[in-house]
Amino acid sequence: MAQHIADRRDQDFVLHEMLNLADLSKHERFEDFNKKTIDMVITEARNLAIKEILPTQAEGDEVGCILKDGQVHVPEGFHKPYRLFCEGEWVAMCDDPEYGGQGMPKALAMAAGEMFTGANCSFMMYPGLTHGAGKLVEEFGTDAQKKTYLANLYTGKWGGTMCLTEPEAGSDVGALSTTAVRNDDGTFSITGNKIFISGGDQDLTENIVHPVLARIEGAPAGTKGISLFLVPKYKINEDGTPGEPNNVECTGIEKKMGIHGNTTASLSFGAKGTCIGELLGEENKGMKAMFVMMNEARLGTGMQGFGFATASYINAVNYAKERVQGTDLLKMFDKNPQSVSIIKHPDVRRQLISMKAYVEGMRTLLYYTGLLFDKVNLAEDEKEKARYKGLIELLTPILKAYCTDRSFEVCAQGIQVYGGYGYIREYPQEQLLRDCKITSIYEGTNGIQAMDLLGRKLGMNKGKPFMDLLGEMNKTMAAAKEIETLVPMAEKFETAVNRLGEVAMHMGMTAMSEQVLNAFAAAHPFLDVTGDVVMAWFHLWRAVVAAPKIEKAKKKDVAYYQGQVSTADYFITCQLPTTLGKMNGLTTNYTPVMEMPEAAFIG
Amino acid sequence: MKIFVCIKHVPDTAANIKLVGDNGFEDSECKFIVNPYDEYGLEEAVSLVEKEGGEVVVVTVGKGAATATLRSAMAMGAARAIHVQTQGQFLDSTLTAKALKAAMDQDGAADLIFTGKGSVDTEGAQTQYRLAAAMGLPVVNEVSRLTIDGQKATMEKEIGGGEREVLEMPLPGIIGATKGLNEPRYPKFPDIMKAKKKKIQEMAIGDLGIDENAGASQLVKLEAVPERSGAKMLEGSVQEQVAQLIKVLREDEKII
Repeated sequence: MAQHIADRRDQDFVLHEMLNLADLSKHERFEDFNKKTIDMVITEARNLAIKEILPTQAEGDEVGCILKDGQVHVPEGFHKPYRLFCEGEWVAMCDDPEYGGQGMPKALAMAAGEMFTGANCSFMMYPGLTHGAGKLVEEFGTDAQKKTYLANLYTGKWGGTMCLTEPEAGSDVGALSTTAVRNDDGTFSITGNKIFISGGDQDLTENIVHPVLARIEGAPAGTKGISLFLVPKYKINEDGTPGEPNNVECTGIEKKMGIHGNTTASLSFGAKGTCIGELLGEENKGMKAMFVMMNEARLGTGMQGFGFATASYINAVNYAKERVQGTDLLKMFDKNPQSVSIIKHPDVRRQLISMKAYVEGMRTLLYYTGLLFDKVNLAEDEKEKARYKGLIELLTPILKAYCTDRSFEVCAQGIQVYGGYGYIREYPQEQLLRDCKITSIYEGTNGIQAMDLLGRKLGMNKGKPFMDLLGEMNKTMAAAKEIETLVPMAEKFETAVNRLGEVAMHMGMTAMSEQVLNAFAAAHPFLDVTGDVVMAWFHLWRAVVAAPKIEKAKKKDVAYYQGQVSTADYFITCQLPTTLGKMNGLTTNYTPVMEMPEAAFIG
Repeated sequence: MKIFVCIKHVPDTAANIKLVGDNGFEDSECKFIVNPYDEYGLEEAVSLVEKEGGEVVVVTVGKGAATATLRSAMAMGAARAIHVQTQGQFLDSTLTAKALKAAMDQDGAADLIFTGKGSVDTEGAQTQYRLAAAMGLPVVNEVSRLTIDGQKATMEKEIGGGEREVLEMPLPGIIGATKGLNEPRYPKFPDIMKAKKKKIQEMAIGDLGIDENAGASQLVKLEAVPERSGAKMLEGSVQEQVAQLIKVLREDEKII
């Protein structure tokens, strides 16, 4: 059977055979989530994704969003799946049931999210951002705010956004100029302009709640003077229903390279009349609050990038099996050689195994990080909790930047496998590539992620999270050494892990020396090599699980398990040497980057 | 209102079926679903009960693996399930009807019974009639529109050429549902969770006094549908192509 979006067998492998997710059901918090329930949740998510969301992907791209008379209209086909998604109560999968969430383990939500996001990312951004806005209200809202907003957001009845960016305040949010003036009744009047607001206006929901960063009159400059406000599109009546317009005006929408189905709006607050906002959380603590949403959004963005990659990979494999072109290399001199499907050609096969290696590695990273969140929730003491949290913080920039960068490359290979057909709009591959590009830019560019890794996360808590990560890798390495066939792989991996430790130490030292700029010039490549070693770790882990099962596996599983070992071997034996080479480059401090005069870029 | 919905555990229509031996297939390798026509019946039953109150009970006759299919049906809103378990992959429809009747009799009479108009695996479209005969109930198949008014069901069914037949049936009775009757729902997340805790009453077909190997018909052989030969491209001017087409239709295919 042709699969769509994601390889179900591999999803099951990660959840059940690597992470043993059903073990969480031993804890009261997740007692409902045994293996059968986990499987059923994914099956139903898959059903909804494939039957209702996936068919809207091309329409989203071709029709896009339309701004007419100040109102954005999303592609017509989005309305039905949005209704089904909300009715199915998929918006708040992991949240506390007390606030209308479903209390699902995050690792499982990652698997369901993969199906949804892979089916149509532009569409999923509407409920995704809505959830993020809800999470802010759950974390920082007063009881009254929770009552007014939370259920409406977590059910998708109202939409949500995230309003940070302004024309002069992009990566540097502290430069924003939107202001808030205190009113007598405790509310604030908001004035200013925001741009690049995903889902900033749409006609899917009866109201939209904008969490807006603004500076209260007289507050300090920079990020220290920023507060967070809840600004609804329509003022809220006493009975909780949407009322009069709140002077949030959509002044334009962007024409973009991809994600046409998701509107990217310019919003003007309070230009034509009073725009009322409620303070969310404490005054001048807006950035800290917004980071809650941003961290979620970073993981979500990693998932988005990955969603494109997994879909592109599955399409490429299906296509390569069906497309007959050229003859078998070994039979090309026969009199009447038969044409073969292109998956038989070594170069196509190489592209597919490379795509597979990244896709499966990234899937593991996403689900594994999800599981870390679940372990934080289940941790019995503070030390354990801090350990898992440290790993999450360390992995977040890697997950965001590495997954989105590699996914873009996977999508490019996904086009290549199709040849000329990959380049034309009749097939989905080129859209996936265009859509994917934004993921390395928004929610903190990948350059920002690399700076976060080097400047904050690497040395955080005296480097403990990083050491913990290497410790986890060493456990897998030890397990691999117990399996005879995996010893060579384990040894190669060991070399890479040790070298990564050295390089990290070198990078940390350089960042603290007068060569700090050199260190940051190398931050992104450092993130890349760290990501590569993480991928290698997961592949070795996969091989450790799969190798002993090959012999006794059911017929249908034999090839799958062999594939796990081969993919690990491919990644560790064929790809990892490149990573070691890059590490050698990193220890040279990338000196030419900063040495070359700025004037030399164009002579 | 108590409603039974008979559902069948069938391979997904998109599944790649691998035949095993003369009359079996590899069922551990393919995905199973609720027979799509039965879903229309289930949706109708669940909506009726949502409006009028009562209980929807799904009943299936099939192998142990059908449990997953029953759970899906319960996630769509059935309150509980009855599973008559068989060993074999295929059961003759006389026996299926007998088993369904026995299981329903044990559970107690219902006001209405839904089936699909047929199953997408064997496409026998026999069971609803045999069940009706066995239970002494009226039956209408291929129903695409339904109104229940007290003890009477008014139904429409397509009879070809865009015409519809309108029928009335006293209740209790059996309705074979088909496409058009409604749009089956996607299970809500909380209903998926609840489905796990709903009760499935299991019984072996033998315990109902039925020998599953004693059917009135026997499945002799399963064969893959032969692949169609490739399309023929006709070349030349329009006149030449038409002449060739007529020749093909007359001499090769013997259609005209």
